[in-house]
Amino acid sequence: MLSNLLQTLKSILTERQFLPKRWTLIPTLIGSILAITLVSGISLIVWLSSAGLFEIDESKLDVIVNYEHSDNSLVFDKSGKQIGEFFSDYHVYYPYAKIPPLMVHAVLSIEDRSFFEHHGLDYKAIARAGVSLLKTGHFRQGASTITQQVVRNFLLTPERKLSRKIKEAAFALQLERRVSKERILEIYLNALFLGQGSYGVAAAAQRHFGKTLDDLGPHEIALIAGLFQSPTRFNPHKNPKAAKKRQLLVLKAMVANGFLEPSDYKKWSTEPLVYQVPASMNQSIAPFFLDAIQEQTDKILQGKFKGKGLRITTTLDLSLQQELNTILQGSKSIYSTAANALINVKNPKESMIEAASLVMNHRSGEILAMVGGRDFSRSQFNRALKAKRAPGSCFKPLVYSQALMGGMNWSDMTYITPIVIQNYRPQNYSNEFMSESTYFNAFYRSINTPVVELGSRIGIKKIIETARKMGVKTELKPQAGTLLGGSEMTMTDLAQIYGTIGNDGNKPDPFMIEKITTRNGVVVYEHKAAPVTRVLPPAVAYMMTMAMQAVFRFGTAAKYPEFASYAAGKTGTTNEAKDNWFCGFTHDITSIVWVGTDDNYAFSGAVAGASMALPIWARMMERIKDRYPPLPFEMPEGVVKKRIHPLFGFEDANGVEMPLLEGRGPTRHESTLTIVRDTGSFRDALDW
Amino acid sequence: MKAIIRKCFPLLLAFTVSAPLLAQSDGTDSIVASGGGADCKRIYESTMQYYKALAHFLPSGFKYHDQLPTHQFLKLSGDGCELFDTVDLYQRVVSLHSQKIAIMLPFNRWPAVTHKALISHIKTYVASQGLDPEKNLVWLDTGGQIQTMQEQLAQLVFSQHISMVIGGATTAEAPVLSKWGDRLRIPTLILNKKFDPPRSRFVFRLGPDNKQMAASLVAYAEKRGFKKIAIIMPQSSRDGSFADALVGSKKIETIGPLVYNPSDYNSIDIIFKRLFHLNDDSRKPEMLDLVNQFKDKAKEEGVAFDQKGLMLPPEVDVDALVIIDNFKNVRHIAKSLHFYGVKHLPLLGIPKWRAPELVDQEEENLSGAVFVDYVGSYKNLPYNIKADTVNDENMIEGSEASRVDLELVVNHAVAAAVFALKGPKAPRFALYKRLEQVQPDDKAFFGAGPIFKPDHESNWPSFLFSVGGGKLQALQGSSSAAKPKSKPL
Repeated sequence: MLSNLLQTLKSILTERQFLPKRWTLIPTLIGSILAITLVSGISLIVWLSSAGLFEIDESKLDVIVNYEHSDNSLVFDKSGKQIGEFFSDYHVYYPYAKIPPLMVHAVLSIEDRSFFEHHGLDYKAIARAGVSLLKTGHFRQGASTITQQVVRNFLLTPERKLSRKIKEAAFALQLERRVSKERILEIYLNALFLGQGSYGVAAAAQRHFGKTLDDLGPHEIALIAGLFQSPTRFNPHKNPKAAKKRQLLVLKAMVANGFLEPSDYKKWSTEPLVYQVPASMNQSIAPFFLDAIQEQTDKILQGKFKGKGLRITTTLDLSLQQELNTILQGSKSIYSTAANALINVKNPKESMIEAASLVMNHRSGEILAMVGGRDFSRSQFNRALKAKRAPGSCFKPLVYSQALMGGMNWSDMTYITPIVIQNYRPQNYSNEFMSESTYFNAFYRSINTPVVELGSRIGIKKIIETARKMGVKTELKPQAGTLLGGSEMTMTDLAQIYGTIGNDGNKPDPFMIEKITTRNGVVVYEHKAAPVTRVLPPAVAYMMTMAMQAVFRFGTAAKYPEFASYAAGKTGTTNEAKDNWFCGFTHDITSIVWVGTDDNYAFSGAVAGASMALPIWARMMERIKDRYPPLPFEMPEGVVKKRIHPLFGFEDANGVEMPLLEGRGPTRHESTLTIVRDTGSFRDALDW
Repeated sequence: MKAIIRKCFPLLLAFTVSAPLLAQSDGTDSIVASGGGADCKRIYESTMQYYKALAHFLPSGFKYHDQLPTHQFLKLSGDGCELFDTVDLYQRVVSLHSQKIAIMLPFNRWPAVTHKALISHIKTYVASQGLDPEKNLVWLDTGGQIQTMQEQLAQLVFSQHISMVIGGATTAEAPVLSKWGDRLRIPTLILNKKFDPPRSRFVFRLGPDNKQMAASLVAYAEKRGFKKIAIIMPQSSRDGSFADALVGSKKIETIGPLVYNPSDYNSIDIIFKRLFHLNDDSRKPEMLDLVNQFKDKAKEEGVAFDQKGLMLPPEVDVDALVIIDNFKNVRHIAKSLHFYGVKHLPLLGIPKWRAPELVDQEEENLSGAVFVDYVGSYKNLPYNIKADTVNDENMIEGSEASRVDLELVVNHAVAAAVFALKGPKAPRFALYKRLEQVQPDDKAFFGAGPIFKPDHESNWPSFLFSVGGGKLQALQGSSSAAKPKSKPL
């Protein structure tokens, strides 16, 4: 084009139509050049303007200048051990100073070997790219510096257009003026997407190799370094061959730049690349607990925590949790027995049986361990927190507590007969009509009708109100069946009831999150203990505790008498054993176990709380006892212990030890009922 | 002279020994007509052969004394009526007695505490009457065994020559002892409550009488205007005669007795469902309506419907329910009536209701219930019988109840026997007349009138008590209710 132009100009000039011959050639040439330059310059300016060069707003760089790296939020147990992490995108932040030098070298070798020399643009690379453009008409050769890539990543679209490239170049120059090289590199190495949901080299190390950045070998570093150009195309999980080819290119570049010995190249180029997606910590340790933590954190911070790199300290006792996991998973024989006892189920399977458990320090409110189901991967439904199931006889302590507050004595006797309340006619578990019992004995043997009688005298509304005061959140049905645990509630509701009794009558305030801080240690949330709420007098709580100790000595948990000295508890079995519970506590710890099915299948008579939930609870308690040695239950003032006949309620040296309020209790030392029981008759000396 | 004395010595000895034993007889006492012949044989057949029969219960090696008329008689072959003085001998045999009261009871059936207390009490009483308990009382434990009792009776008759026998406490012993008493012409006081004594001059029944008590209860029920009562009782009950007496009174229409097993509530359930017409076929449509009504209600309320809990309202067409059982089962039954929707149905009962445990807990259905007993207030018992009351004067500890019952009955029997003995000496066979006349010491308790009615049945008072407010209250004018008419023997 230029030659044509010159040719035309020459012909005009030689025709001497406009200018004299000799003396006007040079000025004319100069003028022509100037004109061309002017026009070109104007055209260039016009074109650059149309490309938006003059619209570059430097303030847009602030997002890079002020970049705060994203970070996974980490979750810790109460002693500071990590138990999980939360992220929407997977980030693992590494400050520049901590990034292994080989990683830096690998990236620089393949992406921008003169990074530390240029000021944002690599002109030689641009020239090479320009020649390629003139020759082929396309941008085939990359010339982007790391700085340009950062700019592109944060500010611009990835399309290959000259206008975009010009803007990118301008921003890159400006960025270099505002931010240090190390910082730009740090951002580059932490913020860019590298496949498998990972952002940054450390995250990529986890996601591709299941390792920390520090544990990577040079062959692995090379692979990751190669991902920057195209994490999708070079994703080793999807395109292993392409990934390998790219890795070799990186290794060669590292050798070429003197960051790797040629002899090492052979070694590392043939070293196998073992890709591993590590088992998510979230799924392996305390998945249900973590799920709940995420939910709670969301609620506390109103969703503003993903990627903020929070540090969430929880109340979980990791060791206890692991033991609990082992116990629940190891109770296969129980699940197997239960499966064999399922009725009206086609093809009953052991996997149909579910279990859940909760351990809480009722003094502090800390949730120490939680299992929401047998297999998180199969079902994420948290049965410990969310399942509403009928508690059966586990509800009885609430009724009896209320009765004790209303003046009932454990030594009071009742005649066990069929009763009716609001058309509700409860059955006794072992058909014990026509027998007599003290309430103490009726409690630990879990006889039904006395509870219904007491409850109907107290009033169901009052009992529900007490439940509320204890911290039960589920709405209970105001009907007679509730007295025998027919109204569904959650495991945490039960923990509130048993925790209140175990906590000397004070309502526990359960919580799972101790503290939330930013990654810099700024506290954004801290649990504050609620003021103490007394629900039961200490004397009533103690009397209830002793009755639950008797469950181990004489009652439905008598197979485990060894627990009676330091633990208290209650079995619970609903109709047709659809729910099987054991709820118990020591001086400080409340623990609950449930076994059943999600579909509410019934079991045959062989299954009950005592045969399903209790053995699991017992194994748990052995572990809890080791970690939290139980103190004895302290008898408060105003309570005395007396030996009372368990059936007829009179003072009896051979009787069962019962707690009574001072000044209350039986005044007699015998009962005519004994005569009838022993002889079968009364006043029949002359009837023989 | 010496020879005469030597010859007459045995006779003299016999007279000396038997002088206190032989009582004077007047002409009316004599059941033996003078002379021999037909009378002799009649007497042998009606009486003397049974002495020989009883003698078979004597142990081998039993030492006979020829001087004693009873032993002499036993040596006779056959009726001995061919001998001139046989009738005289008979007279002496049935007259001879040693002023001893024999008390034959099944002590091993009662707790050791009870029978020790009983023996001690009776001894004290006898001593207070001027007699010697060691001489005038003899105690034997029959063990409730008939064979043992007969062996003991043989010893009492042939060795100790007892004046009267008190015993027959069990339904097995009573008829056997009474037969011996009648046949041997030995005044016999039978204590078993259910025993119907044969018409015999010599046999008396002493103690509470189920028929009499039933009559009291019926009289009360009539007074209350009850026209129809249901009777329920446990299987193997020892109070069947009470139920029979109620049914037999014919003064009030009765249903039952309906029998249940107190160890199996289902049997009681069946009775009540039948009694209150809960499962009648005629009420099936009514039940269906009820089911549908509650189904709809459950649906409205969003709750599960449980048909098991539904029951028709009861149809109560009896005026009262008699529960012939002990207080324990009465409490259960009274309480379980609520289950059937039955409230305030008058309940009537028997002495076995009476224990502190009947009233120590309030039971709505027992309020106003009435039961009959043979003991009144425990505060002022006759014969100085002591018992610590519980809550009020009408209740004592259950462990004391049997002791008090026994002391009362046995002491009353002994009192009658002592009265009979203390009068002018009479032949044994004639002591029955004294018994017919004996009056109770404690008229406040036993009422006026002789201890025995003309038919030799006990004139034992009945007492009615009502239940309420944690106490038992004696109903006024309730003691010694209607006495059934009896013909003299």
